[in-house]
Amino acid sequence: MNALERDADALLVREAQAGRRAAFDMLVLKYQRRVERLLSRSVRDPDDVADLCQETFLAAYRALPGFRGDSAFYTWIYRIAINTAQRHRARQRPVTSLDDDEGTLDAEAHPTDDATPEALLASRQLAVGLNEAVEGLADDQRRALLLREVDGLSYEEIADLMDCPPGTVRSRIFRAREALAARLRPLLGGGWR
Amino acid sequence: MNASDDALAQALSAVMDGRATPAQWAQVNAAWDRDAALREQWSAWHAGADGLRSAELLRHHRPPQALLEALHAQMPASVVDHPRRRDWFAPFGVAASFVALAVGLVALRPPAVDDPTLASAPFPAPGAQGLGGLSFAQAAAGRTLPGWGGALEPALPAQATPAIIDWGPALAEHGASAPAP
Repeated sequence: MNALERDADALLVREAQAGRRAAFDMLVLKYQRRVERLLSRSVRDPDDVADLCQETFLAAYRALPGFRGDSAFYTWIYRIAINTAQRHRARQRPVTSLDDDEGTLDAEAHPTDDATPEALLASRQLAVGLNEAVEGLADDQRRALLLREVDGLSYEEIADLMDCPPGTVRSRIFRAREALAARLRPLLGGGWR
Repeated sequence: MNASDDALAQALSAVMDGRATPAQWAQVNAAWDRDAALREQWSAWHAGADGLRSAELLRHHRPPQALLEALHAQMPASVVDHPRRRDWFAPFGVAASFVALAVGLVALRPPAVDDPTLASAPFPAPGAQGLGGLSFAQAAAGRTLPGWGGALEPALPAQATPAIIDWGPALAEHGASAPAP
């Protein structure tokens, strides 16, 4: 989590707190994979992981008015997810000691490896599709996108590195995202109506 | 993609980077519920960004529409952050003080008298009663005080119980992040 991502979340959190559900939807779609990955480190069953992910976001939505931005939104929801997983495990194994009050995950927990072959295939196809899409980008677009998404640099920092105006950086990143999305969309199973 | 779609997508990209202007955010917010392509775009962009950071994250991708529908079905109608009671208590207290002051001043003002004889008669100034002067509430209620050091008015309790205002339970800052007992 870098400062830029935190800034990006600040707008969405503020708008969600003002009652605009679109902003909360955006946060959910942004963090769903990271929350599920975190949950999957302590809960084996993928169905449970999905349920707990939903529980996590619901708890976050209800508690949103109390979120004062002292920490990053991701840190906050990370904590909620850990507590949600702990409650789940307490329900599953009530006699097990849960002295994990520092928010670290249980050393006995294993990442879920119970994904179905279909799910594994789908994620592999996604990864392949993403690699192909990135390789297919123009050099300038690829460099700008990776500096933004992987290295977390600002438009201005990227502009410095690429020796071009920030507006050009913004445009390159946007075009790169469009190209990647066009390649990934059929693989992501949107189900939008 | 037409020009307005392109402008909307650029606004979405600006939101993703935390660079959206208020107008861009308003544009995205207004389109979000009715524009499935916009939601799909947001989801795909973030899935792509996650995949660039870690291929493992792609294993945890779920169809976003089903995820949102399940969430919406259970979400309360609104989480608008209403001001806490404590937040309006201070201004309310100040306003109430001014009202009480105004009522007291009106009650202690000499009456307007047309009769010149009555008008020239001495009128006890409020200060003449010293510490035994009327309280605003008593003046408003038409009560008189006993003399200084005298017995309290029988109708009043010897020690008035301070009013207890129930402000409700304390509002936790991070209620959701606390583990359940």
